[in-house]
Amino acid sequence: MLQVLLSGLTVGTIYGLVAMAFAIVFYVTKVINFATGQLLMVSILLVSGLVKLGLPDWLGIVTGLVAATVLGVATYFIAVRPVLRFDRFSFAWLVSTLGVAIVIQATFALIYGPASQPFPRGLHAIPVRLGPATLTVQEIVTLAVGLLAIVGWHLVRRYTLLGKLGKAISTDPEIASTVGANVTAFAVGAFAIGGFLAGLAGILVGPITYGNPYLGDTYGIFGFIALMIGGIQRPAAAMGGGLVLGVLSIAANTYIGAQASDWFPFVLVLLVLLLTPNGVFASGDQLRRLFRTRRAYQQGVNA
Amino acid sequence: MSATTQTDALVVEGLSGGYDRFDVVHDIAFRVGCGEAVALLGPNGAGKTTVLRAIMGLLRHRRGRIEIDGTDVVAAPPHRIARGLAAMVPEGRRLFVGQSVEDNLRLGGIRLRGDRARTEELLAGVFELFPVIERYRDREATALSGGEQQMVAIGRMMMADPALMLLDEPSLGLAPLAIADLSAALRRLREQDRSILLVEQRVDIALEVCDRIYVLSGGRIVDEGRASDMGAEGRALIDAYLG
Amino acid sequence: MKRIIPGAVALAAATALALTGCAGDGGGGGEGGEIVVGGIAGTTGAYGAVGVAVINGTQMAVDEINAAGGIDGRQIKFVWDDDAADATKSSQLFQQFVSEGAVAILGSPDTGPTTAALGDQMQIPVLGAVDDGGLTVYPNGPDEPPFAWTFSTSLNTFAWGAKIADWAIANCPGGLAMLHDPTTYGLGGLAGFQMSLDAAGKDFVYVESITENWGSGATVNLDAEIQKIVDSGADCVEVWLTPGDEAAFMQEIASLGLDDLVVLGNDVTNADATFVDLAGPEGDGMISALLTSDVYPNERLQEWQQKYRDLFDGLEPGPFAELSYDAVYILKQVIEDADGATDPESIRAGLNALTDFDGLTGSLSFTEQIHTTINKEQLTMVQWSFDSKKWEPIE
Repeated sequence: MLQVLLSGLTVGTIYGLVAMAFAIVFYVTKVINFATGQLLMVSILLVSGLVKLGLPDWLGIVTGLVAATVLGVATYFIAVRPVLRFDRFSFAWLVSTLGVAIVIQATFALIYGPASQPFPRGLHAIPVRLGPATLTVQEIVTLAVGLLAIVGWHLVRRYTLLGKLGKAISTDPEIASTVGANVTAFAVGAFAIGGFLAGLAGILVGPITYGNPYLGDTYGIFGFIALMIGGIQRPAAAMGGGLVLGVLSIAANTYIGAQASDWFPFVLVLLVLLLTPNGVFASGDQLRRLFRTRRAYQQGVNA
Repeated sequence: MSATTQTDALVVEGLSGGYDRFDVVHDIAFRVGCGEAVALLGPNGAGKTTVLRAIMGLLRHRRGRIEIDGTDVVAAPPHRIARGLAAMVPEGRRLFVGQSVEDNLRLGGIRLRGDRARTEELLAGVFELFPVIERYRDREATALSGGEQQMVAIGRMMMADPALMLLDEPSLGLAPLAIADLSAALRRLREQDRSILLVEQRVDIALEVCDRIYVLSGGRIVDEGRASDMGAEGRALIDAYLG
Repeated sequence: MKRIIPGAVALAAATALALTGCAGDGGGGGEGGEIVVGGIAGTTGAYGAVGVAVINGTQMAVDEINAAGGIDGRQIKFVWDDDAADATKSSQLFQQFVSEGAVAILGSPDTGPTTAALGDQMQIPVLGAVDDGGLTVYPNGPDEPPFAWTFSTSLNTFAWGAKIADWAIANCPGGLAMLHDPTTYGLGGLAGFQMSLDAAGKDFVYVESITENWGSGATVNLDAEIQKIVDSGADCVEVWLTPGDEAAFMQEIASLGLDDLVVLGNDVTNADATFVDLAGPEGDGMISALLTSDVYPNERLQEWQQKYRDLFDGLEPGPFAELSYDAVYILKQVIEDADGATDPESIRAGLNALTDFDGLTGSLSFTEQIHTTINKEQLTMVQWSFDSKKWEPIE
């Protein structure tokens, strides 16, 4: 039971970090960067490649994180800014960010070949017993990073003027610009943070899933599902969605059957969208409305 | 021109612009002196908001000359113009949703974030002008009444301590009592020698607050004059324009 | 760096060939003209290395035969493309190659069920690396007849399953558990195990089907499964999954300190270096079966392997390259035995009668009932030694 919970939270944190990467970009720019999963792949494969060439692990990890961040920003300038300049309400980014994803994936497949590459085991080789459950140090670090991301985001957004300005941009970019917000700079920042978080998720999951040029598909999709479960409007909720997805997927694997992880996330997302279209952690409005309607109906019947 | 005005807060010459290569305003020229309050009047669709948006940098397609406090801003993005040159009360107020009254005000003064003392001084100034919103400083701004929200919007503009204040239809949708308060507040700003450009539908408010008026129709300036010179004849003329 | 031929480039090359070369005449190839052979393999995707090996091995045989004067004086024209392990793409390629006059289709190692079914439907011989034999060739199980037009020289899941099961029956007194992939690949392995277990009157103590990410290579979280295996009391576990998941499994049980659990692999575990690269030191002790000809390579195979490395920038050869190479020479022999006839029926009849063909992968035969060349008698049990970097024989 404890093992299911901890394993689920660890996996969920990875999904959650990818979902947060999606959500922070969306928060500021209202764009979904479909290359987010590929940024995770880039950081993993760069670490694999550089360590293979003889570089120390830490240098590979720093390079991987920087590359994912830079590539996130490049995605903004290549695929998002041009289409939005042409038409502010255009949805062309749906295709252009997907195009970036395909180009990144094909490039890495060409350089690395299709087979998976080993990733330094590092902290994942050190097990820690927690009563009946076992985690590795890497997994404990993953949980800590997830907690840090969610708390950090909350503090910045809630208690710094910069965070409040970001929120202002999120709700009304035009008026935010009239108080002095450089909306482009914030967009660049959002894509950079998105790239960094995706890259960080890659570093954390690398020892578990190894490096493969096609990894972006799997983690991109699960990150996106986590985003849908948590709610797209709030990055902290996206992390929550990841944790819910992780725990329930592992629980389904354990208690329903090994095939459950195949269909379970989709059923989950369907349920969430039916009950609370804005996500579990959006605001609770939908749930509240649901119960209020029923109460009002019952009062009507009683009267 | 008043004798104390030495330079102009705003000079607009040959301004044309609009949306997607379709011009809404044509060859506009007018000025606002330092410490002067000027009203831009005109019927719906005359292009008043477009002129205001052009000055604030929000209108992408704009040509001509727009000089605020001696700086040409016709090619500048809004966040540059917001650095001390101009600040605005947009039509419909557009307060930052989900943020408190105080946060809305502080966001207005974000360009001065390095100068804590100045920010507190400006905040005190806003609360002095609008004591009622000081009581609600921790409330969510969009939960306030229309008149109170308008005070927050004006306060947010004041927090930037700009060379030029732009107000777009501040009386729109307000109850009569709130309009009286608004009018008084605008007069106070005027007395503080702020340079103001006011877009209004309500001619009475414009004439009460402003030194001069320009009348805009069909995207062009069709008339101008001093508010004090507006006799019954002048008002009849404006009313005719406003339809 | 591994040799990768991207699909788009290959397509461009194939188009260029089609423009300059003779177009096929729609069936069999004209007397004295080129013999068109189609090739389908997944050369991209996380496990694209297998497809690359298939194409390289085939190309090597085709180039040798053409340089030596072709088949009965006719050159072989090898047209191939990447199916990206996608059944729709595979069936489009199949029909395209047949319309270009292909006398046989080689492959696919990734969409075998598709090419095998189309072979019967269009009555075109399908040869070589057709997935991993097993249920791909015998869709109704090991005791029922195979697809009439499919002849697999590929690794055979039935053979590996039965061989490894025989070893487990003798060496796992505490019981045997199995995790398997849900496709014909994993189910073929399961059927192979079941054959040997039934014969010995035994059964699994735990068996579970695991959905995998063949396309992206992402591993599956197996924590819950490992717990259930431990709870079942099994002392051996067959992990019939992707090499990536097998490696992750080995590392996970090492983290958990389950040093006594014996882990068994499958035909792909040692078909290339993917598993041993990923598993690192924790891969030590993995047990699987290997072609006896690969465990004890004769002089001819060693020479061939060196030639392969020289041709493909040092790329390590493996069984998929070897068995694809064999398939081309089998086709050559069958056409020559039929006095140059390349109509589908003649080729099929020749394949059904193939006896003791001397290939790189052993002495190869087909009959009406047996359409796989590799059977459990040709396998040897091996164990990975991290120290010697070799699959060492354990029998």
